[in-house]
Amino acid sequence: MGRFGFVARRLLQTIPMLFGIVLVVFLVLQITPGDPARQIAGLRASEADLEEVRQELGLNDPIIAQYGRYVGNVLQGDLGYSYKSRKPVADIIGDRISVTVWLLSTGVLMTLLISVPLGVIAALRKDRMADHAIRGFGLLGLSMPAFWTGVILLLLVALPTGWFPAGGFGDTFGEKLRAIFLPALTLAIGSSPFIIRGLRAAMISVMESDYISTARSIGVAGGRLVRRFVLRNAAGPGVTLVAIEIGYLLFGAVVIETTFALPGVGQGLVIAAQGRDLPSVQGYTLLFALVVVAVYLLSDIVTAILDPRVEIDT
Amino acid sequence: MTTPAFEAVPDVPQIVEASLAEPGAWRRMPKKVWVGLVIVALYVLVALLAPVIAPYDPLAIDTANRLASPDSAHLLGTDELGRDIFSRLLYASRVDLPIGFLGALLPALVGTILGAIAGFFGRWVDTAIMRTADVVQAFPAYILVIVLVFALGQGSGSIILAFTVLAWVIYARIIRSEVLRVRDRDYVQAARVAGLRRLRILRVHVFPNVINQTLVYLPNDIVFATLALAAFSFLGLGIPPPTPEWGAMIAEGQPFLRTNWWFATVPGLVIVGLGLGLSLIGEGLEEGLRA
Amino acid sequence: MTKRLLEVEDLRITLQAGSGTITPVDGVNLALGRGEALGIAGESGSGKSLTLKSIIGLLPQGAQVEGNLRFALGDESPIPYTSTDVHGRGISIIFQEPMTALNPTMRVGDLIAEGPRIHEGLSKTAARERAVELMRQVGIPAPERRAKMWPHQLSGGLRQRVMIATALSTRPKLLLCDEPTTALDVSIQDQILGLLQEIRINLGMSIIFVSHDLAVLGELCDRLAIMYAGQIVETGPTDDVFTKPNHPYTEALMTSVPSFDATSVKLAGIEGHPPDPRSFPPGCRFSPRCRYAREDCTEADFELVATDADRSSACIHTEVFAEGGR
Repeated sequence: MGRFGFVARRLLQTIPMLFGIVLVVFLVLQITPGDPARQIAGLRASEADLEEVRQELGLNDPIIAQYGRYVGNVLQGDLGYSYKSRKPVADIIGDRISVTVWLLSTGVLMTLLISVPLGVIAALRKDRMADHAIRGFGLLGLSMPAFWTGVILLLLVALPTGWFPAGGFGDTFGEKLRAIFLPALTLAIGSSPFIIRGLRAAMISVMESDYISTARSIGVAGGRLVRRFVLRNAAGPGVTLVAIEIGYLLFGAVVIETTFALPGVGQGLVIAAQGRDLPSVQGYTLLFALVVVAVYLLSDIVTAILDPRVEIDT
Repeated sequence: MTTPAFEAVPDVPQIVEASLAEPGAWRRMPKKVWVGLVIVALYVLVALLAPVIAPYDPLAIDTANRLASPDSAHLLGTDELGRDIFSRLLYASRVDLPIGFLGALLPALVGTILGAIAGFFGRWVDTAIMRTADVVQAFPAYILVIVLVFALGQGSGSIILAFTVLAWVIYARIIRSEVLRVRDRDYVQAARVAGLRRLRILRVHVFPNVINQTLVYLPNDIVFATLALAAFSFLGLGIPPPTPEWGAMIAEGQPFLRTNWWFATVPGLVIVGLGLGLSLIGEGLEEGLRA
Repeated sequence: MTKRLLEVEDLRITLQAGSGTITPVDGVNLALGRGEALGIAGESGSGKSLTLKSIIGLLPQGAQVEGNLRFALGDESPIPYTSTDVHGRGISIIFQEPMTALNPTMRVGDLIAEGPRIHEGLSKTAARERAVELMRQVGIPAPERRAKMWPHQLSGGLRQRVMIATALSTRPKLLLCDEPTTALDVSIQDQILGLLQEIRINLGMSIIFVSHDLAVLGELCDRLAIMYAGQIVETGPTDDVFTKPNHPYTEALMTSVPSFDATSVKLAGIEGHPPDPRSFPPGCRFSPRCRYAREDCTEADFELVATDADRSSACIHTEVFAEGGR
């Protein structure tokens, strides 16, 4: 009962949060300078034309009414129409989302492949050569802007070998994989240092705890100690760590998709922002915020499954 | 369950946290702090002296000499408009450094003040400030920066403002908990009894104790602010052209990667160098102050 | 004297602290007979707990140990050993805080079964049965049901019993107790002490019990060693030490009242704090707080000298002290 109760409560908690996010997205973009009617109708439109557009969009209604209508539309999956292409924002996002899902999932996978072994080694070899080397590379990784890492990979890997396209996405599975490899690697290089650092700290704090002393005192050692005592206890913080990274990963997707000319939602946000396409920016922002909320929720649930104490700690 | 840091050595009395105000504290700092300080000082020096060292006007267009390779006249060649890349790199430090530093200092300042107020005055003031912090923290920070900069318009002012709105929270939390810890100690109680005014107690007794905590986070936040600024400019959402900025220069150079590889890569190296210097300071301070 | 089980000779432990090193345990000598219960008393920071952990090789990373440790794994005399020789074999330990000493993500029955599975090669079911048996032995009611529980679902007293069962699961000859009753309520404290006494008699085990609480040590221990600032300042049979302490620090400890936070003691009649391990005072380390201190106390070399057949003290003015000062 206890743990299911926790999950249910956690789900309920996200609802006011979602309304808050929609409100902030709505409000922030309300203060955006510029006349939406002018943007739609064009520079040469007359004042009468503008008024007509305003009436049509309900821009003359009180702000509360506009917010109510916005929430209602969002709940029905209607995110408005792009000022630029005049297409529904939801459709534009739908067209772009699979690229970003590819990038993020491959990127997270690579991040884990890099950072779990390195984090564990750094913790087990604390203050020795391997640890210092891993932390040194971590510092370097933290200082490298993701878009620059991407440029370097293009220069050093894509151009000389010709194995990877310098930009764009593919149609077949193989093409997609080739197109996504370097961008995902770029993402992984940027996010691994955080994960390695956090995993190392979590492992060390577990290894210094009394229950590890207890385990060692009764003769548990080696792989059995790491498996049964260290990893299970470090897994919870590890999951939380990856979840916290989601904010960086999304921003990384925005930057990296632009660097590699990948037609995902990140690139879509940049194009929309450059074109001052307000409904699109609103739509993308909402999407990103929802992803963050969903990932936090998921990580809390996974942590609850991993940690038997959660039911009383809430 | 949180595990106290000193649990591993329960029999040893906790060694008092060092303070930078203590005599000799700087001498005990690990070497990396000094290496980092030298690197950062070099960048600051370059920014200050840019007009003196730069061989060309960073904005001077020379269409006859576009995309030149490095030679004795142009150390790093020229860009698409024939502007000297080396001079632009030097001048860019006058944009990236101040925004990076301000983008971290301002949140630290605001956060420190709000955190101290929340911790010291408590009650509804505390509640109001910390609830606001919760709300801000619930949002994905970088995405919100994009939205804020979109709403406020491009330029250094809105970027710094966006950073401040988002990044004050962590400092407020650190300082608040530190104030709560220090507040009930004997010497602060004694100061209260002696009738010192609250502000004076804050200034004399609380701030010197909490400033170290802030210092540890500051260098890392400068790195984040600088990297974010470069990223925004790279995306065409930050500092508008023609002002030279490292991230924007990388974007300008990327189309010419095949022929003029140095154009896009060297500005990145410059960013990495600054980031490394700052990270070294941050990590060194952390080791030195918490040991 | 009975046959020796453990010998500790000139034990010195150094730790990294900031940029320097400290020596929180500085030249400790101990000997323990088979079936004997030794109590080590001292304030926090005296080095008593580190001494205990060095015996079972569980010091924090970076700790340097000098000196000789010898233990009798079989029936022969004590021989030098490494921590892997005694982990899960001759020596077990129980800690002060049973909550942090039990793996939070492992059911308590599984934890107790770890030892038998590894060292006796028992199957999962056999090890589980043995775990339930051990839980019954340490007085846990309804052990079958409780074996399936998580540590956080048990009360503090039951957790400490689980800890004791875990320690017993490897059939040790020596049980190290690191303030195992300090974190518990007073009534539970007595139960746990009773249990330890019972185990000791039934299993013929030796015990080293570390505490700041002399009353607790008095209930359980045959002999006492008093530690101050990393050194043993007095040893002797419990009753003798209680009736006539041979060191001013022991006297101060005896007249002390346990304070409410239970991990420290207020010493009646003496000022100040235990010295900072970064700068121990010269000569007798207790002299700055000692009410009998003379000028030569700060010059004296530290030496634990026999005062009786089975007693010793490090105080160079035992005669003066014995007369009640002056």
